[in-house]
Amino acid sequence: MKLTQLDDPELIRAANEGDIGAFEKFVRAHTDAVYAHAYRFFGDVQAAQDATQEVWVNVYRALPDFEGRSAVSTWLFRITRNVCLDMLRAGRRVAAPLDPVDLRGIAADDTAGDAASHVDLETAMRALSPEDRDAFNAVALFGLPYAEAASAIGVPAGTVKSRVFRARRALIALLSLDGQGGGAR
Amino acid sequence: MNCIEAQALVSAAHDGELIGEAELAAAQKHCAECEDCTAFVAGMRYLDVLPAPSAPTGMAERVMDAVAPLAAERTEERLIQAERAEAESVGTEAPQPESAAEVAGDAAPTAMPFEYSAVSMPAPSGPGAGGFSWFVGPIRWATLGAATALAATALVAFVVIGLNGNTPASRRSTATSGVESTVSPDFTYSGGAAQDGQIAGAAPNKAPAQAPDYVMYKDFVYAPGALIADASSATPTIGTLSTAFASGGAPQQVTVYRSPLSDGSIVVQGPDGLRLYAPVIRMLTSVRYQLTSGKAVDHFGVWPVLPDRFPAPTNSAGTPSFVTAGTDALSVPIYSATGRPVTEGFAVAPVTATTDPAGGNPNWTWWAPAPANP
Repeated sequence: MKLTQLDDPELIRAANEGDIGAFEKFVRAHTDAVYAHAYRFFGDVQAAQDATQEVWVNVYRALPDFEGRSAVSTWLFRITRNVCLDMLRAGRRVAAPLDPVDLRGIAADDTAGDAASHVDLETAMRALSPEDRDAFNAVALFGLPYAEAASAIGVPAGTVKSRVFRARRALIALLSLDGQGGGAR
Repeated sequence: MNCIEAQALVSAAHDGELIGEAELAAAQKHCAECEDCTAFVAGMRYLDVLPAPSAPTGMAERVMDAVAPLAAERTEERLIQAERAEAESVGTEAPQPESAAEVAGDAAPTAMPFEYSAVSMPAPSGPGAGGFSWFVGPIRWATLGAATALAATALVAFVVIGLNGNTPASRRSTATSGVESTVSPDFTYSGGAAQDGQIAGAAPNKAPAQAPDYVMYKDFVYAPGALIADASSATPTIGTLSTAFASGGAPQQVTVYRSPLSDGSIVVQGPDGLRLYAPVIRMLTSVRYQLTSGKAVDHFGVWPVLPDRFPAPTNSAGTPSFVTAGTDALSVPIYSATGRPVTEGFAVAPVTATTDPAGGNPNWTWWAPAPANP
């Protein structure tokens, strides 16, 4: 699942000019990515919903500031990430705990279907470091190139590349997609 | 080419990075012949098709409900601007609200218009920037009558309390600009304005009597954030720092943990538990620079000072230690060390606004490239 950038600048322009329907179209196109990032950040459905709402309120308020110098997806990821961080800093929510213990048994499970794999993927996500998860989400959920992700996160592009690769290797291993546990199909 | 190198190249190519043709061909050849790497490539593709969490049914409706008051406010703003423009074009008086209720704006969130005026961010630009002048309008209209004045005063008081209370300024700034948070935690953004024109467009202000609750780790300064409710989110120990916190006692060595965040913050074991401490940051050309101190910040209330290698400037131009080097992302003038590039760090003159990351520090401050991993 990646953001589609088709028509996004046009939707933003229209929304900024008062077309609430354009804004709703923009929301519906990208709410899943925003929610997924927030869910992985907090590990909690309610917190993810609150963050998603706050992200879009902030996006609406920031419409006049969007000058198109960065891609829409980069702008949206930046706001999403900042809202999650701000909620955490403000003590309103806690981050998803880094808890490798939760992963016991994943590799041995019979991942007989996408639903099961989905649960496992999100559990495996919690084993990633916040930095690796952040970079992976920027690329995998929002479709950002490494350079854009680097700009949004505030690290060099090479660091994003390393983090995404490390996350990918970890997820593949944890989900036994590496041929060691028979999970890959 | 070994497995890691081959997988890294294939991974980067998968994400759309440009890889040399020969290099990529070699990696692909390796992956085709190596069982582990073949599995990695298959796993990578499988990850792509696994569904990510989807927003629950009704999420978009909930969002639109939350946005509706803002949209109504924006519509009203446009109408008033249009009326005002029309009135000005024919030389008549601009439209004025008629009641206190209208001043307060029944349908609009009252705090939002004042968020712009309370933080020292550059004024919004772009097509909708004209709205800002209208947002501050209620204060001026308040002079029209006693009832209006009373309502506006109550509104301002409410907003000021709100800004100094539960709403972190960092959140306000990111909410309006969408840029990465460049500010320290709440209390350094307690409102107020600039002095000596340090912040463009701000009014003079006194420096606060005491510094925020800073701690210092490896010469870099951090300000307190949230308590970490779940101890498991704090990862391994990375060192110690010296602080007495708010007590008047002797500083003690306290444990510093790696932060669960990737924003350069640290986690410190304090008297009230594990607390997140955020780096005090300002941005320059999208690079993060963190406040440093040349002397120990070993209890709350200590203002950071310049490193010893810089003699304190004797004038506002920064000489002899510094030369002017433009402004940072907040339009605050910065000064590079004489003969050195600004990328090595820069100084900021005393008594910026209390809303500035320097927090109104009465001393010159030095900002060095922020460590990604403290």
